Amino acid sequence: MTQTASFKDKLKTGWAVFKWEVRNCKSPLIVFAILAGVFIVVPLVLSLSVGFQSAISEKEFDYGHVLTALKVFQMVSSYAVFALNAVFTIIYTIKIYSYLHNKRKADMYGAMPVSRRTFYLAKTFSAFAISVLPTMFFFSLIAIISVCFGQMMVNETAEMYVKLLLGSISCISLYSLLAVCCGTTVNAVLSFVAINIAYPVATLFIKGIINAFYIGLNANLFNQSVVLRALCPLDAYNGHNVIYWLLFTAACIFLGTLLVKKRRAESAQTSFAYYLPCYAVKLLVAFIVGMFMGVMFGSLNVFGAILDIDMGFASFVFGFVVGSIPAYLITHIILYKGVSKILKTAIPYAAMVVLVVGAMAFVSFDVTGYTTRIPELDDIASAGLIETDSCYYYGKVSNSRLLRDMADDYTDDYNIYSIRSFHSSYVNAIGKRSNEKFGRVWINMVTSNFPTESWNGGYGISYKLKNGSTFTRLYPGSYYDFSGNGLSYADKQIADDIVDTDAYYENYSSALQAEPKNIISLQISLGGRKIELKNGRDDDKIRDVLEAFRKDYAEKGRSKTTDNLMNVYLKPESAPLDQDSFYGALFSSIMTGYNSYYGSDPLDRCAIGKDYTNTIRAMIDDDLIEKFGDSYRVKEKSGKQ
Amino acid sequence: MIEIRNLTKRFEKVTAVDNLSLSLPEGAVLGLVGSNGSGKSTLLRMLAGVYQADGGEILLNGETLFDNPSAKGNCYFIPDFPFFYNNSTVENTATIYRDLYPHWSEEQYEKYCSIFPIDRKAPVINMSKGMQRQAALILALSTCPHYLFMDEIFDGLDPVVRHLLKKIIISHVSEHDMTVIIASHNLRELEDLCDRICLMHRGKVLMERDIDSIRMDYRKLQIAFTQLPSVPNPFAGINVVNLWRNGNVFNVTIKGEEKDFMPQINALRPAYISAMPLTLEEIFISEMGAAGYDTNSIL
Repeated sequence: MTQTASFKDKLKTGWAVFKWEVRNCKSPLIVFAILAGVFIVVPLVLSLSVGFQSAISEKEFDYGHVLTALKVFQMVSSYAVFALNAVFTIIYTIKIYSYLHNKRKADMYGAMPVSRRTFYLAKTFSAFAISVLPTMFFFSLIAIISVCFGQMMVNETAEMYVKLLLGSISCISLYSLLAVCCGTTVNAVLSFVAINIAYPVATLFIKGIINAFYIGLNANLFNQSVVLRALCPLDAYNGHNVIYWLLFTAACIFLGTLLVKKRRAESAQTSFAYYLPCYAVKLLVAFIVGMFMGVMFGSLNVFGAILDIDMGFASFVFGFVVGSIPAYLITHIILYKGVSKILKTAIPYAAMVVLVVGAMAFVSFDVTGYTTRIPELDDIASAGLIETDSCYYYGKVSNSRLLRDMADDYTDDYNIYSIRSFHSSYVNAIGKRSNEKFGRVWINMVTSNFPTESWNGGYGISYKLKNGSTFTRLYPGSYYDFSGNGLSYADKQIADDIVDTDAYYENYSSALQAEPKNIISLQISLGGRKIELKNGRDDDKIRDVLEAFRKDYAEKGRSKTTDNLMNVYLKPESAPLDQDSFYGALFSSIMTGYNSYYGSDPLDRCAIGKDYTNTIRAMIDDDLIEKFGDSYRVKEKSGKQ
Repeated sequence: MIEIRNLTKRFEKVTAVDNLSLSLPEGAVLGLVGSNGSGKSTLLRMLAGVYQADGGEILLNGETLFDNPSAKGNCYFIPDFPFFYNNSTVENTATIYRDLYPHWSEEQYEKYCSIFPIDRKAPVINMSKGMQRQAALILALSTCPHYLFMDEIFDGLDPVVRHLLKKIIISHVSEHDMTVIIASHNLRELEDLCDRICLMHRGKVLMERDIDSIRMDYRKLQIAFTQLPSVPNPFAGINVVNLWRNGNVFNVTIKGEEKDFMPQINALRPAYISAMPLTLEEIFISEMGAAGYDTNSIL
């Protein structure tokens, strides 16, 4: 028979444990408060001193200098407190969960009349509170001081609140789960560090392999994508993927709560209580070291280089095994403090090797023929092609949607033939030797921080087939830069001709497609002078110019180069992506990190001819340009030049 | 009442407690003795709810104990090495016990703080081993537990405090019907305090009885002869558990009732027979020897 404690009793005991933990962390909290105080007072005094000195040195007292100095104070103090928080969060968290890793503490806490789950939850929430609340207090202090001096919080500082909150709770919750699974604090810390480092590297390798071996696949995962950072809560400090990290935190706490009840108290000071993180760490470390060696051996084609035959796959397998075995053994010895159970626990490793070798054989030999497949001309109903850096929608709607929609662009035989011909040339130009494929893995990994597809004119090609299906490929621009087998000028000209069509311009230029509110800046370049209109400051003028331009385009078509009077450069903003549906947007933000896409937006050039009278009139009316002899010039006092 | 039924605890390949069953009435004071590694501390940790049993169950007044806060609120466990944080004092440690233990008594707390000679505001971690145990005892007794489990509690306590502790426990048992289980190798102290003894070996109970009945089972005699008996083994047929000879004088520990062995001894015509006091330690060694334990390596 077991009496069940009421929720009120659990809350009461949980609160008692919470208070006890806060009291036990009193000393580090005091040290944190002192240091945070120093890092607020010193930058404040220095900033005010410099700010007021600069303000006084002007002819008229210019308070703007003080406000600028306060911005600097905000940034410096906030970053300092942020960094302090990171250090002290480690200290508090390790201290709070050490009750699971010390036999004497396990005796004390285990005998107390508190359920294990209440204990775990109370300790987790105390870790959250101790980590977040004092820092929030000091952040608020920075905000209040700034506001008192008339300087509102700058965005970057305000964002830091969310980043800190998200990062702290995500990291603490993963550590809490690992602490439940591990028998020692050292193992918990090592597992946390190893998972945070090894997981993103492992996914980077997988992504690199897919992108390198399946060129054309729309595997659009950027570095901040959740898929690449799923087990790396340190990434939550960047503030991306908020929903995912909240779910991650909840999942870790839920799992921890589930496991802690059945956790064997006697596993304190032994290697592990639950072996899942142990396997995860060993396999991840073995995987990344194996992949490093395998891809290196593969890209060097070590077995085939002398005879000049393609033995990239065999070289990879050799390198993978040579790299992963020592890594696995060393990790095991560190975590188990010796070689005990090494054979028993080697089964998952063997399974991983079989899986990796099998998967690599599948992609290496292109079993499905993905990279070489091109639809037959007779099967194609319509086709489309985009050059990624001259397509307004690229990076603004999901690639799959863009590729799907553009398949209907051209239905005429000539353009379909041209697109297929270009596609064929591209496929032929792709390096198909193993060393070239493995070499592309490194390139993909190195350039992973950037949306490589938008570099140097990557191409999207899409066909609507007569059987109703859609065939899509998205080729990265980076391919040209790093491979020696580039397309010929003639091949590239085919694509350039399509991009140069009016139909393409009407479909994909920001000048005709972007909402005025989505234009970050509009720059007019005329007669050696420039004027720049900015979103937020010159919204009406941007709208006027764009509307006039579109009217001119509708009436007169594209301005002839020979009649070119001036150039207008548009910089459209990165809009939230894929708004097909709420769930689509949610999935997109969770799975691909698309909502935080930060691809560079190329300037979109619009040539304005003399016949574009509506546009010229709008510029004159808005005081942007003025008549100058037979021509025009940018007005001097109209803005920044 | 404590009921332990078929309790088993394994640590990987080692079975620390092996199918152990035991029953203890309210108000009993049980001394848990046994060889090193016999499972005493493991049993105490399971009784305190620290370890979960791999088999069997423990019932305190019919309630299972593991992860059951209401049942654990009636228990207190003092391990062989009580834990205190670096900055812990008796005073600040009392704050969490005050919140968690339903029977915490401020009156008892003040009383024991004055009885035990330690500074309640000093960091416990800086105190001697004995003082740390006293600190643990103050906290334990202030929670007014119905069940008190102590592991090697006499270790490090000076004779005065040991005496004091025994007095306090006895008074608590008589006043509050507290049930106490003490694991210790210090059999002389247990002898004074316990009314029952449980002898453990390799995770099993060798013997669990009240001390008086154990004593009744054993006799220690000093037997002197003017002339040694001519028979090769004069005590053959008697259950001798220990025998020591010095010339014509024999010290013999015998298990059994006097009526069963005295006629045979008298028939040997000894010069004199003297009954000697028998300690619990001697009984323990005898029983352990009978269980095949190397008596030279213990105590």
